[in-house]
Amino acid sequence: MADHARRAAGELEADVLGTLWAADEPLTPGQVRERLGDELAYTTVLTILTRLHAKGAVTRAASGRGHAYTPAFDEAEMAASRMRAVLDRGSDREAVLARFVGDLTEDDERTLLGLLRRATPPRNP
Amino acid sequence: MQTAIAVALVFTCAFGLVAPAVARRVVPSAATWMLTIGGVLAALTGVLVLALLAATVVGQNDEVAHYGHWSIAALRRADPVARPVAFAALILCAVLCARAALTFSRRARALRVAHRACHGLQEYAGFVVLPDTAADAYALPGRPGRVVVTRGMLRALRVDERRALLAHERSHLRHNHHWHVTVIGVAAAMNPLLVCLPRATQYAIERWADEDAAREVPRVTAARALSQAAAASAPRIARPRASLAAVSTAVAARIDALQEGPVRPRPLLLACALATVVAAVVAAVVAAEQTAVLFASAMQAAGGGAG
Repeated sequence: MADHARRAAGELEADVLGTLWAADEPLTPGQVRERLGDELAYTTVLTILTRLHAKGAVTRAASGRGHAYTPAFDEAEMAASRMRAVLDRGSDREAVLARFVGDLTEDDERTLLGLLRRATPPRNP
Repeated sequence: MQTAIAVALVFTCAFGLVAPAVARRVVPSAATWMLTIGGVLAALTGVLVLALLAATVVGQNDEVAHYGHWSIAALRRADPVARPVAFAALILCAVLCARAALTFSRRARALRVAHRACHGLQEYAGFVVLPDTAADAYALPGRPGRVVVTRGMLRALRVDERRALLAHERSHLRHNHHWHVTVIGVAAAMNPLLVCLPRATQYAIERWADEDAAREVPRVTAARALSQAAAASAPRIARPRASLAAVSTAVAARIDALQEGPVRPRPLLLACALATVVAAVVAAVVAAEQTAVLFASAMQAAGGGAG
């Protein structure tokens, strides 16, 4: 039970952090909750954001009576430059990466567009 | 001996052709292991066969014969392999072994660079974000490895689709898929008959990770995550990289497979693929025994001449 709760907590952290990264502007806990589909309690979202802030994953600025949260861009810039260094070196560098999508051929792309038109339901939760 | 060698080569070739087709139809984790184990066996069989073809001509070298205590004359009389064939096999064997060593060292270096990079990447909530707008995501192997996602990719997906993506990449790291890719890469460098295996392995590990993702989110969500991610990264094909266009991971086929539902276990099909490689190994071992008999009789001739 405790293990299950812990795993769920890790997943929620990923959900919240992903939502902040996907957003164009800083989000308040209320806005994060809304984008996650209103399934979580406000206090849960706030707790996760506070934990992420304590870890240094997000920064926050005063907004109204609370805070608005932004992901840590400095860390991401640093990660990007490290990754560039990895990918610029060695001819087999691509071989070590297991890419989610990989390189698409034109055929792939055509099939995909067809599939998307046919199979994707309206994008609301 | 020549018959056994021909049989070994035919079965190695058969495995190289059959294995990719079988891999697409069986459970992806089983497919990956079948390709890896079968690939290694087939690669070793190929090298053994070439070594056997070259053995008699090497055995006729003065110094080698002196060291091995056998009669060159007896060996030449019994030699079933034409000299040009034996020399060609010797050169080919050396070239292929060198090629495999080169591939291995290149891959090992790339993996070391990746390992080092993992140490420097700070992850939160299980992934590292890059601020790029282009959609991309991959698993970077290391101890522990890292899931790397661009901001563009996170933007392209909904919350549940992001879960599918992360589950997929975590599966790559958890099951050490990069080792399968590396081993198969070396095996294919060692035996040109296995040229189709690296691509089949790439597809099998992606399917394996897709199935793992489909265990954490509904199949529909996993399929949609993949199609959304692919659509978001589609503009990337505008890049002029003809060489890489060929190694498409067949995204459309993966989406179809996810939508079709869980893969039925097909142990018989799997057994057939493995049987071809086992047949190749057995034939090669028989050829090796026959070669050993050849050398033993040449030793006897040398012993008889001295006594």
